[in-house]
Amino acid sequence: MCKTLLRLFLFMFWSCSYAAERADSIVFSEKMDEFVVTGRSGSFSVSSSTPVQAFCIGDAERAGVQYLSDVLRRMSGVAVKDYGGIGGLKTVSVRSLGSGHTAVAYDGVPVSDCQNGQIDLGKFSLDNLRLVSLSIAESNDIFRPARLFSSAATVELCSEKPVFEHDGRRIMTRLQGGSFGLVSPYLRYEQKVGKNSAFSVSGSYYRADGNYPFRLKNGNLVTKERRHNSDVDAWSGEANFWTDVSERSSLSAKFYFYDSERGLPGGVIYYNSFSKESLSDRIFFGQANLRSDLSPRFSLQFNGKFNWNSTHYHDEGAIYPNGKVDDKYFQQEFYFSAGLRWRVLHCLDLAYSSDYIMNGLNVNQLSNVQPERHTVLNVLAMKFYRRKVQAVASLLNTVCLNYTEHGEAAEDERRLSPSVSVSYKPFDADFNLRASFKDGFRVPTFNENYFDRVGSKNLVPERAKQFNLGIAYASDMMRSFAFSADAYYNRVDDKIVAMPKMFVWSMINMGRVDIYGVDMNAEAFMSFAKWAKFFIRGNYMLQVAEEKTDGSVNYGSQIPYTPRHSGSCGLAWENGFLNVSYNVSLVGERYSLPGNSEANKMEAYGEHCLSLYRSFVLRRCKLSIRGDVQNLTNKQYEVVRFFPMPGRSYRLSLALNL
Amino acid sequence: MRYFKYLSLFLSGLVFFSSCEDEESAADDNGNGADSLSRSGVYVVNNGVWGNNNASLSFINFPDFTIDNNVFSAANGRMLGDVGQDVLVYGSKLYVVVNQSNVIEVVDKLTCESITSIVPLNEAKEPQLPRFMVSQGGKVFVSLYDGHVAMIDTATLKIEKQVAVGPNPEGLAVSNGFLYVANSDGLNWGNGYANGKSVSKISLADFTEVKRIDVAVNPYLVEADAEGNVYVLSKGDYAEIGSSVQKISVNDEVDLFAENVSLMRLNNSVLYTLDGSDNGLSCIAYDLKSGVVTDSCFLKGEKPANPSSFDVDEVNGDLYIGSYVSGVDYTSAGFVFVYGADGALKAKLEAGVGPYAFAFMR
Repeated sequence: MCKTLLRLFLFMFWSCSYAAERADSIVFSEKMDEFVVTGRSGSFSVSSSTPVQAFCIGDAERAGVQYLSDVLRRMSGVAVKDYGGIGGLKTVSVRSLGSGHTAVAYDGVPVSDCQNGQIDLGKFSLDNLRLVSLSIAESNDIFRPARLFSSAATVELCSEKPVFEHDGRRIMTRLQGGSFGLVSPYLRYEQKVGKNSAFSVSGSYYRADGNYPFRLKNGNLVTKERRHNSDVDAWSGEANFWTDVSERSSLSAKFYFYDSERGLPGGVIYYNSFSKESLSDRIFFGQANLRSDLSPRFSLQFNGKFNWNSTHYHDEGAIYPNGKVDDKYFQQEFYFSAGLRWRVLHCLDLAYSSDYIMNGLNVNQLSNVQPERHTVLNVLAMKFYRRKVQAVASLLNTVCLNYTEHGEAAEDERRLSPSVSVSYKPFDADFNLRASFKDGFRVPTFNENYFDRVGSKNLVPERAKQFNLGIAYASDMMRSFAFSADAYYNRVDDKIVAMPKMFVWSMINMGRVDIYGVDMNAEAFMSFAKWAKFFIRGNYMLQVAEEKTDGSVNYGSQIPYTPRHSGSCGLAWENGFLNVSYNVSLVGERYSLPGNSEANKMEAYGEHCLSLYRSFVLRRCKLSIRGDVQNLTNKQYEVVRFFPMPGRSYRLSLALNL
Repeated sequence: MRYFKYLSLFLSGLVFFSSCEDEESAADDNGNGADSLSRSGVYVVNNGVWGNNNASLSFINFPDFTIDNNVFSAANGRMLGDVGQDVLVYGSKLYVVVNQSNVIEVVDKLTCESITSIVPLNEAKEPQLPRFMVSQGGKVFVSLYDGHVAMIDTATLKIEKQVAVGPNPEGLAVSNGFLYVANSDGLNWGNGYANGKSVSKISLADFTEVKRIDVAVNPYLVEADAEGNVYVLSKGDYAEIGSSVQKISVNDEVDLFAENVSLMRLNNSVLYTLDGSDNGLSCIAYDLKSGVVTDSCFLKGEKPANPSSFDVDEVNGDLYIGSYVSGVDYTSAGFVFVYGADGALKAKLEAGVGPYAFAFMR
């Protein structure tokens, strides 16, 4: 899948083309002529019939990004909800649909959280990744597990695959340090095994105190405060194995482990800064992919995954029984997917994929209902492609069966979700028109169904309809220039929210949100001399996301945490001596609560970041040095109300590749 | 992360209304109580939205029922804090409990200017999270969620003493020289509120707990009548056991008084109860002397959509019901509905978010 994405995107920027240039030394049977491409491309696709953006991790310095959340923040249509600081929860919502409608997949297999339905991006580091992509509605790659057809938007993380140049082994190390006690070492080892196989193992550690200062404004009162109980301590490890089983078949497997402990500083409460909440997370998963081209016309693929996930929430204080609270949650998932692609004609592909997912949750409380969910997904997709036209259509069937060990189970679901998209290239130039529609939904999470006394078993899925119309253009003028603009309309119905009724909280389906928006992207690469290479990119987002629930006093109001206007731009100058990049994210006024009152208004902010970087090549070694200043103007801002973000901070990173 | 939020929502979803008895005996040091004639009306503390530091104080002016909102922040240039919980007028001062901010704001009842902020902390310097207040004999008693009741001396404005009671105490009332406090054990809901289900009886003579009286699960509000009976509203466990009101007699015998009650208020021998269901709001008046029960529909005109608080003006029997703006909105400015003793709607006033408690000032 990632391979396909790479093919799709024809990367211009050196890091990816670097990989491609070296690609002929790869051990795998990938056809490199497909891989190495000419002409433009960059961070968004021109030819796709739906908006697809990608970020090559090799461009991290140029874009001034450190974390996955930074990468996504640079993309159009994305809002990252950041609860502040290094260990703070970071979730992603695409085009105001809410985080539950965005899937995150790691090497083609979704990472799930059946309890909360939202993935904390803070748990993934960029170290092992090669590419991050975001597809809104359906991707144009139809040969994918059915599960990837089931969300309104998909973030795909594609891991680094070894490319051996010399002696069949490679070592990568990185050491990072920064403000507020940040220390993070990383080590990766890759080795070729025999002619057709390779493996890699990597590990990283991450710690920070996160006790950054901030200014707190309470009416006319401005005080200097400091965040505390926001330390984080995280380990992660990964092992990958690839092998070419035969000329036509390849197998890959991944094992992932993550262990973190972090303080939860919580929101700032006026006059009371006490905080002892903490959270420990442990994730382990193993997954494998087998792909086989049976014939030029038929391809098969299988994916399997086992996931185990534990979350331990701890708080202490005399208000609790025995002075503390320890809530433990254990999630399990088994996943299996089989897919078949049939090249019916030279211009028509059909793909069928069938997935089975089993999710379970155990809780250490007496109220544990031990829910279990079996989901069967079947998708039939079709892709038609000619020189000027590309059309993709899919129909997904979801059957979701709920069981509980104790008590009543939530209602089962059976639904069909269609999706259609088309792109048209009217001229010879690289100019495309595109249109797409998708009717999707998300099933309630276990928390929404079963959370003690609050959850509701008769919730219906939250529905999301997406319409998109766009244009994209790329040119070789001045070396390279590309532009895209999309206008969209989304509608969310039966939103799942928690509501109090005579002091008793419960989860209900309520309301409707209408979202009208425009996403625009532009980027250019100019090279005048070896010491004068310039990269410029920018995006702009307009979002009118209105509450449209009948009878609501806030009818017509902009929904919370959705700026009307936002955008980002970046500039990099690479001169071979000391490269410089400057990036800024701009977020307009928005509201922290559903009412658009002055009291709920949050002020606009700009977050500036300056990076300096350089690489040295000494024989076989490559040494890269990078320094960043985040929040250059020391702006005090919040993404989530009462979760202050850090002011100016510094980071230094050294990477050595052997 | 959402589950912590739910837990907290659970807590803040609990409602409270003030049990201040407007004692005559203002053992108040400042002696400026005479000025109170110059302003009369009702203070309303608004809950706000948990975690949003938007608790606020409103004032309803007599006799024309106009409302001034945000009177605390207007007078002090800063916000009240997070989760406004209770309000009490005593002597020349107004006491405002802000639960999550762990503060009892003491302000001048005429100007709303802050006099002091009382911060209840235990020996480990942890916040004790104040909930409810009641006043008696120059003292203000505050239930503290860590299992204590604090006695604030209204002359020094300091916590003079604390007495340990059951876990997570809620409402309190004074009767016959004793203080009755509901022990909810509300944070132990995962374990069936096992250590609550009782009312602590505290002797005011030496401020010690005399006994614990067993009541229904999750006791919440406490009221006392003139005969020395105490009424306890228990919320039940939100699952199998519903809410109820029990009567504790003078000799501490407990009897069921009413079922399905969300809020109650006792005034001049009439116990008013309020409950909401899918069929709408029910408001029942129990005349404790005559035994006459005036059922449901005595409220006329528009009814509150989602009540958050309830009180009675002891002078004229007017009923005050605070309400969220609708059944499906707990973040927008809510309303205070004022009904005459006959149930006729007198006023509907836009207040802050979730009006939570009232304090009458004349």
